[in-house]
Amino acid sequence: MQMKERLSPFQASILMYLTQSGVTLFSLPRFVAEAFGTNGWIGLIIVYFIVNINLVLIWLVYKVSKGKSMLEIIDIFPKWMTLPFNLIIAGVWMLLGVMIMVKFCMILKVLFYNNVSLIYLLTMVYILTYLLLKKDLYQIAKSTVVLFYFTIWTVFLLAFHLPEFSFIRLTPFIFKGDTDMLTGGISIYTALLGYELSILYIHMIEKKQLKSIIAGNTITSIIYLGVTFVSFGFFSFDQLLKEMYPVVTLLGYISFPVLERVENFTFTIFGLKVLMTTVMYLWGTKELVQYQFKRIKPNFLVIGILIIGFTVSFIPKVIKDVDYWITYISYAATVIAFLLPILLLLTILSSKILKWKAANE
Amino acid sequence: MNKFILIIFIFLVTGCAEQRIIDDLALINAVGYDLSDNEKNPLKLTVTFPIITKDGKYDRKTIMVEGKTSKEAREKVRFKTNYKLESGQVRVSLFGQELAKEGLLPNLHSLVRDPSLGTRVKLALAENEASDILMLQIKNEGQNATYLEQFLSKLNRENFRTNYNIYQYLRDYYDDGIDPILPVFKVEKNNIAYNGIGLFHEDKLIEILKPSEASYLFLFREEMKQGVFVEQIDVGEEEQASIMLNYELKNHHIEVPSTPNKPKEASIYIELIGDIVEYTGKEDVSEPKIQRKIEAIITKKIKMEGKKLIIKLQKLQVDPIGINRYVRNKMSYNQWKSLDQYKSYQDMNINIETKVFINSTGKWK
Amino acid sequence: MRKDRNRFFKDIKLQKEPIRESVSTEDTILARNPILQQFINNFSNHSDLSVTEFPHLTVKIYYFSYLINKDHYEQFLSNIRTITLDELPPFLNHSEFKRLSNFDSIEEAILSGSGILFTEKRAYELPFKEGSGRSIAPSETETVILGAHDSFVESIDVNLSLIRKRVLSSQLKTIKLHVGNKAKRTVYLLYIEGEASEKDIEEIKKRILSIKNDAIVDTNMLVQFIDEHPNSPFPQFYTTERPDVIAYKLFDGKVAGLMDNSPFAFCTPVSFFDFMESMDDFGQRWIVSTFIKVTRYIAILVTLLFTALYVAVTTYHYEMIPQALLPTLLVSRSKVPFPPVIEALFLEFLLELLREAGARLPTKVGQTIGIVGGIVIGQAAVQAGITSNILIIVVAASAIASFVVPNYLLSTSIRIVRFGFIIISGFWGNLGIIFGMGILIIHLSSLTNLNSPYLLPISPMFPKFFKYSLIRGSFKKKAERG
Repeated sequence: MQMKERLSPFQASILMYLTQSGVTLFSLPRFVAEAFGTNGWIGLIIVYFIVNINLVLIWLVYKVSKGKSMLEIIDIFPKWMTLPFNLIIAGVWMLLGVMIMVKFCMILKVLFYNNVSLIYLLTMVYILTYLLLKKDLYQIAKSTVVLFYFTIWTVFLLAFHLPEFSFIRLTPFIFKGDTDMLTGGISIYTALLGYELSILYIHMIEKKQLKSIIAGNTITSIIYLGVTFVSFGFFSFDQLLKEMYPVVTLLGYISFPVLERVENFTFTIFGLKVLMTTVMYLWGTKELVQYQFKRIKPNFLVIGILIIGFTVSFIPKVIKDVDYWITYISYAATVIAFLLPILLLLTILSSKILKWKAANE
Repeated sequence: MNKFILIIFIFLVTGCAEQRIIDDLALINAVGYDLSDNEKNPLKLTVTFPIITKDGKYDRKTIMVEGKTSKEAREKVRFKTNYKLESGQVRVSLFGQELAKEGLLPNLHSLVRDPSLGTRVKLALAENEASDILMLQIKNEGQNATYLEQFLSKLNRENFRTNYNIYQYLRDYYDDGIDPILPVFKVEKNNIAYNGIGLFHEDKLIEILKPSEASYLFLFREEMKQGVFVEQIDVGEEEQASIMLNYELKNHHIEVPSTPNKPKEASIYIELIGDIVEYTGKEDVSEPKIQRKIEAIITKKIKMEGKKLIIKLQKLQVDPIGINRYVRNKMSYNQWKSLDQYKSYQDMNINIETKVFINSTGKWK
Repeated sequence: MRKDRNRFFKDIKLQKEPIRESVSTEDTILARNPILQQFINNFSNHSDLSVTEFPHLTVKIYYFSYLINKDHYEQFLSNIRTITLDELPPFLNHSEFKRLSNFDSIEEAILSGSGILFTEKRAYELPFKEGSGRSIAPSETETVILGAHDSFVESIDVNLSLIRKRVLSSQLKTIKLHVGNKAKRTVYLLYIEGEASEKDIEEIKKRILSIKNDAIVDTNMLVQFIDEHPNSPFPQFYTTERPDVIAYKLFDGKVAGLMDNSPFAFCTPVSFFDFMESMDDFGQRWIVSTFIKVTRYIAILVTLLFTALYVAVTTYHYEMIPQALLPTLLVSRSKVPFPPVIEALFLEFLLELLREAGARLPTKVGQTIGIVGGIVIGQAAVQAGITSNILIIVVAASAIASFVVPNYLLSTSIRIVRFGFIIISGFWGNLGIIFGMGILIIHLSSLTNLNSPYLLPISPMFPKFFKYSLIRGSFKKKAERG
């Protein structure tokens, strides 16, 4: 892809943050409580460091290849070799992006718009997605920054819960109760997914590549940690386990003098964050497919991806199905997140030793 | 491509969310739950909502039905009004005493499961029947729901931390170290009046504290920051004098000495700084000596009454002060889980350490 | 569509009149002058062209009598009558007469009000130009309290002088361009060398020169021919009547443009936040003007969303109404027979009508409109039960907020966008508002002005410029920073 403009480190961080923070946020405190038990918010810090290790891997790919993009690196293989890999990765990313949005729309429907058909909600989403996706990454990043300002203030709403916050409720027990460290831990790890897409755009960042992607992850983690920590002191532990969407309840508890129960407004605003996740995953899909099939016009490709996505959206019927899908797809995405940079590193190193030349010249 | 988007836009406009225009709705602002004598339909549901009369006045309508469950009863209410029934504006939910004794949880669950209801819905108990309170037509008072909500907010401001909404109730219910409480209302001479605090063991009502006892209870709960203390005391040899103190709670903490096994004792420390606003005795309250004496008397009084109250609470096996939370935070997880909480609570020796300081005597010596 | 309109304009211009030889019989000597020949051929059927002959000097003077300044003309006549044939060349070498060498410059000179003197071989421009049309007056569209009160007029020379007076530097460069095929209009590009980027200047020059339309009569029209996103409701070039604004922007490294016979200047590249600025901001203390600026951003949000939010809340999200507001809202809504969205659109539309009527009518009649509108909207509509009085407050608040936006173009476009929000909130409630907001954000962030992003200091983000565009930082600190 021809890119004249490069991303500033700040833009990259914001892009990273908005890609990461997705629909899992609404039930994250419960997930954390289920996985790590009492004071589970500490577990998030551990997860944060694991993600950072993965980010360093991605950065190493960039550093060792001296600023090449992922697509330039795999160019040394003939197209037929990369085809299955790329298509699998593209497929996983597309499904993940689509399913996250479907889940958000389903929650929205359950909570606030009972009588609205899912098709309308998804249509709105796909219109916005199309508007963003038809442009290049620099344009997406520009919109992202504005969306960031438009959504970031919701974090400060947490201040409304401080009067009800109590340290005694946190209890001194760490990771006690019915814990499920492994599967629960992975499900929390998937809440931070989205960072792996940086492998596609790290070479477009102007400077301070490592810092900016880690900063993006830090923003996400701080917000996740803040929300989870407040939830642990706001709800009692057993109550937290019973709350389906603790963050929605948190939002619902806010009351302004002129407007109360703004949760449906703020929840919909969160939708724009989820939108960015979807857009970025679909963008990743688009990049990979475009690499494999250079002859397809970008616009047709985008419409093609959206039509496939739209059709796939209707396969799962209920939230439970979507959850099921998301669980498995995000496992796959996690594996990709780790393996992809490692494979790329191996490729670079072996190509250096064996002095391979690009196969597609 | 713009045409493509235009078509989708038109498609979007053809659909629309379910309209709920406020003037076509029956916006329930209070619900009451009671047990009824009817065997088949054991639940009595009372709802009240505002209506606008033909001449543009703001009035209300109250409907009472009997049903098997709260949602089933609500379906029945639907057949009794020309408006569309919506529960998003519910402010107060009242429970009759009989029902509360059997446990609130089933009804609370149906409240909290409904996404249209907020978690800020305030809860209260009715000394007899919730329907009596909601059906009562107070002259020139309009909506009973508004009246009750204002009443509850006022109690909260006046430091009877009774401001108990669904979220707070469930939080304390699910917390294993504290028990929830709810304020009690009753009908009294064509008026709705506050009449004490209901104590819960888990979700079941155990006992209703009289307002005078309840004010000591609030002294020991941590949320209290300021309050009014009214008591009959005898400073000199003469007969009792009444004193009123506006106090500020300077310090409040509960200490449980860490023991390896069952905790034996707990101490509640409170420190009050007060201004005398009323004193009917003959003594000169501005005199330091008298002040010291009054301080001592009030301290003794709080200790005595408090102790009496706490022993009562221990006997009833209810822990609205949350002493068990402090016990829990001193133990390891396994010890805590193996502990019979209420048993140990009953056997505990709970001390009250009070310090009272008189800051001023108001504008007058 | 556009072609048709052009033809219409052309028809008006080229009034076919019976051809009549208005130029008197040529002198044989003068006829040898090829420029004169060309001139006569081109201006053959201009009955309004005047000519004065001085046979003893073998010169002819052509001019449009109504374009020139009579005093200058008389003065010149009295001068030229006294000289002899020998004295003519030194007289014409006088600096005030400019020698014109080709037909294009002659055409431009005579049409802009100069006289043309033809000798045997040459042509000279005689400075008969009318000094000024309208006198300099305070701006009507952009009023300020603190700051200069002069504004541009229709004469490009005066406008240039207003800017020159403020930018006392030899670095202020001008480029003269012509727009259009037949009716050439003059456009001056101004920039300060070293401040403005060469790329911008080249780009804007290229765009202006590529305009093929003849019917451009005003700067605000011109900029629509050169912007990048013709389908956006938002203004992209900043146009202003105020020379001090232009001077400020020039120092800021921007390129300004003036067009003859238009009291508006444009400047570029600008961002959304330039439209939110008023010259008043610079006169106030920085704390005060920061407060005012923040108020303006809130005003934009109020204009866009307030009515939409009313519609959303009363149609879909009744649970958002606080207890204390509910009785008032219920009572006032209970009489209204329409759904809130119809009610709101009706009132908003009425208000737009009032505003447009007020703008078109003479000032004196305009007041009557205000009173009638006030009574109709304020009293009668509520009593008749067509609208609720809460809605009137909402609509009035958002109308007032829309007038806070300092730029007229932006304020109008925001008002139009607001209708979109009202309609979509009538269909989808809060969801619609957020959806609309998403589209608006994506649209705004994809806009560019001369390849510079429309939301510049925010996206892409340059935090150090926040101080001087989002809010207004202290001047002292800016001076220290350099």
